[in-house]
Amino acid sequence: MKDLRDRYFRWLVEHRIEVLALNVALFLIVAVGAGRVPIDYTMEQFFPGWGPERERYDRYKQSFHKEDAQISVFWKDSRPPGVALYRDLQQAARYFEEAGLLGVQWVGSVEVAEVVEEDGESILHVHTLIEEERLSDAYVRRVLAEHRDDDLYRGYLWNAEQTVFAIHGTLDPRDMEDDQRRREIDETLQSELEALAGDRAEFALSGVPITRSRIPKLLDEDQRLFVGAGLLVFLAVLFFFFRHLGQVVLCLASVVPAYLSTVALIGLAGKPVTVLTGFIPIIVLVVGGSDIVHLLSRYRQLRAQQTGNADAVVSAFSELVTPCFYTSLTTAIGFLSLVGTRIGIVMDFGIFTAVAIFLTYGFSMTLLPVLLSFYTRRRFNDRGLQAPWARWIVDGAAGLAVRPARKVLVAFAIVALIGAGLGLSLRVDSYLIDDLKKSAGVRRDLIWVEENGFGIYQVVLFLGQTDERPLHHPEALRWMEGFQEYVASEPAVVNSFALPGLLRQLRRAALDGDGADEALPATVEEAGQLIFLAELQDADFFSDVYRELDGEAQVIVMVRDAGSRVMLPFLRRVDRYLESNPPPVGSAYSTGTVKLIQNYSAQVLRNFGPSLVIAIVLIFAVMSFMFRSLRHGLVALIPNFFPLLVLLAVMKIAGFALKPSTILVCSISFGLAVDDTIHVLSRFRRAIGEGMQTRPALRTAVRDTGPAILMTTLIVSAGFSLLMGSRFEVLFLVGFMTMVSAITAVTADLFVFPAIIAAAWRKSERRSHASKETQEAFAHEHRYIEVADAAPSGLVRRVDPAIGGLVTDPGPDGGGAWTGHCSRGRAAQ
Amino acid sequence: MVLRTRDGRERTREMRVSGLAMNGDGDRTLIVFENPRDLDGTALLTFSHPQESDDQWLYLPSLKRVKRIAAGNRAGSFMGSEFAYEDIGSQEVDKFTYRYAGDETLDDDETFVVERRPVDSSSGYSRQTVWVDQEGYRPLRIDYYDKNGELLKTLLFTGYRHIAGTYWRADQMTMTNHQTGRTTTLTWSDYAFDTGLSERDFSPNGLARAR
Repeated sequence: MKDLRDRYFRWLVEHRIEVLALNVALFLIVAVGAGRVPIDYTMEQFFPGWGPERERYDRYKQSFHKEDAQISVFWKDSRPPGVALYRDLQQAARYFEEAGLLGVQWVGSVEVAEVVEEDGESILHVHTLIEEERLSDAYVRRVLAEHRDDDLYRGYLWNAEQTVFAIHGTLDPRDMEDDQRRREIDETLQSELEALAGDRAEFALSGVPITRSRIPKLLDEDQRLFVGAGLLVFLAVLFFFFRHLGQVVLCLASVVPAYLSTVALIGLAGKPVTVLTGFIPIIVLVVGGSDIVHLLSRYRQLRAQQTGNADAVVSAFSELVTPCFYTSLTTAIGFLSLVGTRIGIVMDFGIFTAVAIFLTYGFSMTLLPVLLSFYTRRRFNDRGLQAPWARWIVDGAAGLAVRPARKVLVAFAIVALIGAGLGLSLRVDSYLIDDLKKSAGVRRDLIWVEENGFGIYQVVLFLGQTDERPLHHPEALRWMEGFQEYVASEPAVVNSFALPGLLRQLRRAALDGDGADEALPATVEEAGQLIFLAELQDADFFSDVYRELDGEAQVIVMVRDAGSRVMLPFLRRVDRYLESNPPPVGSAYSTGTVKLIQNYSAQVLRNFGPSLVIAIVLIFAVMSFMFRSLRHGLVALIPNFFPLLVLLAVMKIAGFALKPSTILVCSISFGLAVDDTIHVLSRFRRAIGEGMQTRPALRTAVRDTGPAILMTTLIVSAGFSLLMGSRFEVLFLVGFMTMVSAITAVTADLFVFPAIIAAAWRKSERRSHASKETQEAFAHEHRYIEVADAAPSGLVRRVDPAIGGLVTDPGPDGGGAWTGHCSRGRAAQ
Repeated sequence: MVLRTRDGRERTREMRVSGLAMNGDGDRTLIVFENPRDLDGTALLTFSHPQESDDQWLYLPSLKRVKRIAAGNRAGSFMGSEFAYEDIGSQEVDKFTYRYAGDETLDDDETFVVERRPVDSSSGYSRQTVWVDQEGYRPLRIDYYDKNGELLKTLLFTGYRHIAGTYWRADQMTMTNHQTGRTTTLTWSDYAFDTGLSERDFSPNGLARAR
């Protein structure tokens, strides 16, 4: 294998012009292809792609399309209700109509059935709640006072105090999937309403289409700003360590073509770049960049040891091609575990990120050695890599590696136990738009709307006729009303609307407002005739809740975005209610965007444990295969729980809840943490294979990989920490959690992992368990004697080239503190 | 009246319609419903007026009350069908302005094509195009355009019969809504003319006995 790897990289170096030309050509092709892939940031993609819940929702949406199509403005005026307020609301409603919204409803358009006296005759009149021709301050106040507590309007047209009034319009079904059109409507309405409100009113434009219009826009802005800034920081930190602009640019040489190739593949798969796949550049930069840092560090070490450039390139890449493959594989497994979410956009993100990681690996192992082969410099400025603080940390870790491990292990166990304890008590809660910080406009508006007594989200009960009995059958009406009463006491519920309320109003009007007749229609004939009566005057009088021709009805329950801790039990209670109280007429099920999203969140949370276990098992299998030892695979896995447990503990202390976005970051963090472990363990095994004792081998592993691990940690932490400035909580968490995870991972890998190895490693394993691969490395790698430069005491200056084999430096105290190795045939200076 | 949804589901309504032509005023129409069962006996009386809003009374047998109802939304659907009230109500000449748009052959029939625009702003249409056969001046087809000027519905008249040697009546009127894909077919039968009905039979007070 070693020969094969050597031959491959040597062939690359020898044919560098051809390989470079091929890569440039490939780059141009994928760049053109990538430029043609559409961008789709719509939020509907987050809906679960299939399953009975989705099928039920789609079926429901065929009948009642308003559920997630309603746009509303909530208007709080400094003036008391009267003509002036009416005129402003009228103007706002006009803006809604001009924007192309359908079925605009407000106090001046909602129809009410009432009996009026005309020429001594009582006439049943379906008219607008406030009639234009009767307008006066006193009239407006009287009508509002009369209907103030009417369940049909309170919480829909006004709040309980009648200080905030609402106007609702429905997006044309043709515009539902048109993100651009939604954005136009949002921007137009916002600017018109701002001009109308002036200083005398405050308002919030809200609704699911508005949220869907604004979130992708905000996300796009934040993504550009923070990912761009993250990239700059990444490059700055890289430059700080490498002090070489060319090598900094080299890091991008693998990442950029890999990202463009991924985008081109996304296009070939017939998919757009989404709000999630838009994050792939920063992920491949971090993941791929980490391997590149290790490769460059090793290359520079070899160059510094007098190795010729071509040989240094071949040796460095040949040495790290396998560990880097495994780090890519384990990270890819972490992302591929997202396929279990069954959410199309998340699955695509997992798959294409995994693809991008492997493409980065491919370019790193093809383009990077070719570009490095053009270098002629032998020595590089190592002041960054040898910075005193970095050396202090690495030396400290290396020193700890040769001391008894018990104290470190005890400390590790304590921290892990605390982390597990806090992690298990972590609050599980997710809101419908909680990926936005509370200070962000969209969420602030929603909170304002809810605080003023409205809800913009709906849980719906969808009823279908199953036999000859129509859904306006009295038994069905009583059942619907019973359900409304049942949900009325729920803390998340603002109010509810359904056919019974409208029929009550109609019946009262048909009976000339006789107060004794507040009852529901007693017979199906009575209900049918009342419906006919209303539809004579307004064919759409019931259309929001009842479609008689199609035999379908709905009970609309307006809810606050109360979080999954409130909503999920509520939704479960609703379903239990339906099970224990099935409708006497027709069938019923609960559905709606709220249920779909909350169930999706619950599903992701439910799958978190199994997904994490599967990812851990797979990573364990990969590492066991890599090291040809189950024991070593297990040993390599242990320190990676440390960042995860600390992360959960920090989340608990910082007050974050467990929700789909945090789970996403947990999985990614775990995948990233494994990388450094592989590099440390890989170097350790090589050292063992070279004949070192366990502790010196640990020390060598820490010293050799430490600077690169520190560098990647700093890059990851600094780059991602910028995301904490985002208006999106999910981006904030990506930044915060990745930073915490990276810092704890480096602590675990440099300080805890050696202690675990020291405790777990049996003496007999020193050689017998050294893999074939490391034996090979032992035979071929060390053509140079490195001991003179590397010996800590600095006492070994010359080694007889004829001796080869193990060379022990007595160290300052003569205690054999360091062991190195040289092979036969080549002499050190 | 058969109502069909886009996916082929059907509902049937049955009714008895009586009409009285009035001199100097619009027609009087009485519709008594027989099916669906919950509307059995419900009666709707309409006094049509050329210029003013129609007067309507409805008898609700379940409540045993006659309700006078205010002028409704003329553009609204008639009983959930694709017909609006203004489509099936009396087609008074004064309710439109007209423009002759030429001659056309429609399914082997020579027709006059007339474009008419509703006078009443509350109409649901911006204009209608009517194909009238040149032989008997019978409407064969009407295209209805919505307020945005887009084709909304098409009404086809088929099976014209010459009744009592005087009146041409279509057996079937099929309205297709191009925007929703729904159709409604009105099938007429048992036409009878000069049956001796008088104004007394079209009185609000007599609605309860209309069945």
